Amino acid sequence: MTQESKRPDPEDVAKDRRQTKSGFVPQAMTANRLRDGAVIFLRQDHTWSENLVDVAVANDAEQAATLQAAADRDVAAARVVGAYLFEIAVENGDVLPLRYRERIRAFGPSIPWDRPVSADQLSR
Amino acid sequence: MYAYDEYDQAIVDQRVAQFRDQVRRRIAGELSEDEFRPLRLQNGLYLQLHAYMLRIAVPYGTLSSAQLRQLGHIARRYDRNYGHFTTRQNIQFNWIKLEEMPDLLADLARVQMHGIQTSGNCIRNITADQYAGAAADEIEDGRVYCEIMRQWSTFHPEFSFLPRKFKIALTGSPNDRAAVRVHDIGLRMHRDAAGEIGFEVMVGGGQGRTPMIAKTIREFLPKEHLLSYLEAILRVYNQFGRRDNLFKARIKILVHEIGVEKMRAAVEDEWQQIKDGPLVLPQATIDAIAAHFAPPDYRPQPADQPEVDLLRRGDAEFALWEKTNLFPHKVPGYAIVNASLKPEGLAPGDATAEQMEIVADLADRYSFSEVRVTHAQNLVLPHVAVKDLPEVWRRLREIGFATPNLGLITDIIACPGLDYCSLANARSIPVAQRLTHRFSDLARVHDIGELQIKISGCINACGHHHVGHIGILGVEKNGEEFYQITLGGSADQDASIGTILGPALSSNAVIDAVDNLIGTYLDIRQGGETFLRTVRRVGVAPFKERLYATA
Ligand code: SF4
Repeated sequence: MTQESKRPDPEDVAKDRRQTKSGFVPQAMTANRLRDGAVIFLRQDHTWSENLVDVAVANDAEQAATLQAAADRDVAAARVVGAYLFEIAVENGDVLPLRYRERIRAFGPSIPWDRPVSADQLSR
Repeated sequence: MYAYDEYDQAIVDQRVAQFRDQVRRRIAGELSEDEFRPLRLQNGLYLQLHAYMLRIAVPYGTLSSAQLRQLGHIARRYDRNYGHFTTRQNIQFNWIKLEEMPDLLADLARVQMHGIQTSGNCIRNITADQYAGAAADEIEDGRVYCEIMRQWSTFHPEFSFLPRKFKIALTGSPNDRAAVRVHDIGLRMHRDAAGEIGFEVMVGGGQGRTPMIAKTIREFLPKEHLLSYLEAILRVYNQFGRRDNLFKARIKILVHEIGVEKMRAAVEDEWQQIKDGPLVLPQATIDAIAAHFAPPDYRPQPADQPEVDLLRRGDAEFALWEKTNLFPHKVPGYAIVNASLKPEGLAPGDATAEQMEIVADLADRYSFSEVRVTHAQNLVLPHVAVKDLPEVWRRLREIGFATPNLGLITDIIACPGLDYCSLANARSIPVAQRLTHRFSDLARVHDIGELQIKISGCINACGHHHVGHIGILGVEKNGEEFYQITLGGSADQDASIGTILGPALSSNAVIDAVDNLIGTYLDIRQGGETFLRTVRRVGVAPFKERLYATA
C-alpha cells in the first residue's frame, strides 16, 4: 500500500471532474480484505490488488455494474468487506481518485505513519 | 490502582474465547458482516478508512506500567509500531488485522484490558481528572468512584441499548481537568455546608453537532447514593430519550427539549423509588475499593535539592520544562510530571512502542509504576520525587516527550481526522503539525501563554473544537478541505462553547488565520490576561474584523 513516490501532492485537489462524453465520471471498485483489513482494489480479472495502479476502470454504468457484481460476490463469499465504487480521473494511464478521502485511502495517511521497528527493539 | 478480582478476569477471559470463535466463524463465512459488525464493535474493533481500528479502554485514564508496556507490545506485534491516545483517555491502534484480534485480545486480557464498551449505545469508558490521587488541589481521589461506576456500568443489562452512547466524567478537584460539563453526566466532588464530601451532578452536556453545557440537576448528592442516582438518570433517559433520530438521541437533546426542571423532577421521582434499594453504597464497599487506590509508599524528601537547583539555574530548557510541564503534588517533595506527546511536527497523542516502554520503565523507576492518560492526549507520571526530576526530564527528552508546552499553543488536541477516520471531512493532524512548525519558537510560545487549540475533522467533535480557546473544525467544500474557526470555548469549570468567527477558511489560509488571531490578542491583551480572558472581555468582534479584513 505504500506508494510514497507516487503520492500526489495532498494540496493538489482535482477540482474538475472529468466526465466522459456520456456524462459518466469514471469509477473504480475498492474494499477492505476481510482477514486483515487491507485496502484493496478490484482488477479487470476480478481479483484484488493492494495497488491502485492495478485497478479496473469503469467508463460507463454497465462496466460499473459489472465491477459491483464481482465485488458483491466476494462480499458474499466473506473475502472482502465494505466494497464500493469511487470516482477517479485517468491521466496518461494513471488513476487518481477525485476525492481526498479516496486518495488518502489509496496512498496512506498524508503524515508519517510507517514507523519501522528498530533492530534494537526487535531484540528486546 | 484497581486490580481485577476473579470475577472481572473471568468476564474478560470469557469474552476473548467468545470473540475467537466469532472471528473464526466470520472468516469461514458462517457469519455475514451484518451479523458480525455488532460483535466486533462490542470489542472495540471498527473498520476505519485504511484498516481495522481497535479502541482499547483505559478506565479513568489510569494505567499501570505493566499495562503500558503491554500496549507497546501490541503496537509492535500487531500494529505498525505506534498507537494513538485519544480525548477519551483511550488508546487506538490503526492497523489491526482481524485474524490476529483473538490473540491480541488475549494479550490484553493478561494485563486486565479490553475493548469492551468502547463502542455502541452503552455507558462508555468513564473519564476522570488525570491527576486524581496526586493533585494538590483535589478534594478526594475520584478514581474510587470511577471504579465503582465502572463495575456498575460493565454489561449493565438495562443500559446496553440506550438511545445513544453515554459518557460520564468525574472531577475530584474544583479545577476541572476532565471537561465534566461537556459530558452526558458530569460529576464534581465538593463539600456541603456540613463538610461532607459528595457530588454535584450535571446532566446533558455534550459536543458533536449540537454542543451543550451540562445543567446541574443536583447540587449535592451524598456518596452512598451515587449509583442509585445515576441509575435514575439513565432510566429516565432510556425511557424518554429519542430513538427516532440519531442526531437527537443524546441525553442533551432530552434535557434541552423538556427543560432542566422537568428533567430534575423525572429523575428525582425515579430516584425516590430506588434510592434505598440494593444500589446504596455502604461505607464498607467504598472502603474496599478505596483500598485499591491507597497512596503509594511516599518517602520523606529532603527540603534542599542542590542538583535540581543547579540544573534549574544552569539549563534554561529544564527550567522552562519544570515551569510548564509539572503540576503541584499533594505530598511535599513530589511532583506530577506531564510527558508532552506534542513534539513539533508529529501527530498529537501518538506514541511508538519504544516510547511507551520507556515511559513504563520511568514509571517503574520513578512513579510507583503508575501512568495516566490525559484527555488532552498526553501522558502523566503522577508521583515523581523532586530529586528525580532531572533524570526523568533527560529520559523524556531523549524520546521527544519533554517539549515544554503543556497548556500552551502547541499542546494541540487533534482527532485522527481524514488521515485515518472514515467519517472525516478534512484532515486534522497536518493542521496541528503545521501549527507546531509555525509556533516553534519557545519564547514566543511562552509569551502567548495559556492557550488551547482543539481540532476536529468533522462535526462529531472528537477533537473537542467547540471547547477550544481556538477551535478548528474541518469541513469539505466542493471536494476541498476548509476549516471553520471558533473562539472562546472552554472545557474547564467555566465551560463555554466557542463562537463561530465567520466563513470557513481554506487549508492554506488556516495557519495564517491562527497567527492573525494571536496577533490581535497580543495587541489588545491587558496585563497578564490569557487569550481566553481577552476573548471573554472584548468578544469575538475585534478578532473577526482583523482576520477577515486581510482574508
Ligand atoms: S471528529 Fe470526526 S473526523 Fe475526527 S475522529 Fe471524530 S468522527 Fe473522525
